[in-house]
Amino acid sequence: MAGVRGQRRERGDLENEVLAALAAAGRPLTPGEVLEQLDRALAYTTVMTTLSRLHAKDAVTRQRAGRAYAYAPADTATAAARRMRRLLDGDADRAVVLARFLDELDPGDVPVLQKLLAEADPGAAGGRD
Amino acid sequence: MHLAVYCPFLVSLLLGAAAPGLARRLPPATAARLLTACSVVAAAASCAALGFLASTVLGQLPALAAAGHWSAGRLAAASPVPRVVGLAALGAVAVGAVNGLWVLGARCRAVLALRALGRSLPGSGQLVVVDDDIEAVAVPAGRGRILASRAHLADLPADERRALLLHESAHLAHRHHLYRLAVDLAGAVDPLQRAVRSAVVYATERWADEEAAGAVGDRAVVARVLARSGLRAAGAPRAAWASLAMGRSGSPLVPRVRALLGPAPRQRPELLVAAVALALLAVGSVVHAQEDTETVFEHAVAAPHPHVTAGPVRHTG
Repeated sequence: MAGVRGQRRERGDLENEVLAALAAAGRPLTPGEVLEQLDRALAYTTVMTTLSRLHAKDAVTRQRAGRAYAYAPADTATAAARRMRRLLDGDADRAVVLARFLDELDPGDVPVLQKLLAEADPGAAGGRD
Repeated sequence: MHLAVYCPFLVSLLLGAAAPGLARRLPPATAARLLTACSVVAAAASCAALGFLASTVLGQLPALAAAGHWSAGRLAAASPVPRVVGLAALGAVAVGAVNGLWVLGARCRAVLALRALGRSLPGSGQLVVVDDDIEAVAVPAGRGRILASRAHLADLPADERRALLLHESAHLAHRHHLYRLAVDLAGAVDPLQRAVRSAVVYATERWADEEAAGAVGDRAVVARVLARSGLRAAGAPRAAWASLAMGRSGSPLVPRVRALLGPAPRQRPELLVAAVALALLAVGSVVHAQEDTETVFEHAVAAPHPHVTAGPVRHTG
């Protein structure tokens, strides 16, 4: 039971990762390009099936690009984003239920975070972008 | 009734004082579970203790005394609880009940609003990428959805993007919102332990951080994405950023990054035992206080005369 749930979760996490890579790329990607974007050891077929699942869930659209399909995220949820923002801005009640990636930041934290980021990323001090 | 009935309040105070330290020292999943359980137990114990204290004053109302077949005068004489304490407890019960119901109603509305939002999201995948530059957020509606901004995702290297999504999916998989709701309600009826709430929020964030780190296989990656996202948010032109945060009850970012750069947390059985002992103390004192309260009412019932004599409580066999 837990194994099935674990597998489903793993699949879901992979779908998230692939969709995020498509969104970050900002242009349609073939499965091979997605694999490059993911930057880790995954099988080509794994990416293929994940893209098919995303397509079945209406999360991505695809178009022919030569012999393969090129995939792009489905239309972004602009209306949903606006409602989300309203919920977040609205009041603290929602904040209890929602888990936000970043909760609290003090302006004084900025230099500390810069130092910690450099510490966590010795290979690319100064940022990657 | 002299001491035991006041113990739960002490437990709530101690729990509130110890919670931030426990959340930082214990492995986060342990901390979140332990603190939530202790918080609910302590709140229930405090409510029961307030009820016992208030009953000594309420029981003196003529209508209640008549219904319960005890003497209001003898109850007043037999009660070891000073009248002013009983009245204060009565006030606290009323305030706690109103506040608890208010918070419960507000949270229920929030959950319903999030469900409606969840239903309105397109597709049936977990992640929804939006063009609005919101921070990534886990929406506990249905099977759970994650909202993330395209710009934010595009700013991150692949491994950090993955860590961010794993963090959010950990929140959903472990139903962290239920922990938060539980301590939130406990804090609403038992304000002495309010600090537990932010400690549990912190613990659930750390839990998701560590779980993402475990899946990625490198804790520094999660530290990087936290720091990078924090800096990105701080540099964002949105002046409203501060108002978006969870306010003073939120979970600070810097300690989370530091924790990920330090050694992995290990179990601390002694802290676990101490916290459980604290919860057991609350339960034990409630049981004791209940027996005492019953004894007091029995004395008030066993009145041979309606005549009142002030004096120490004596067992009359």
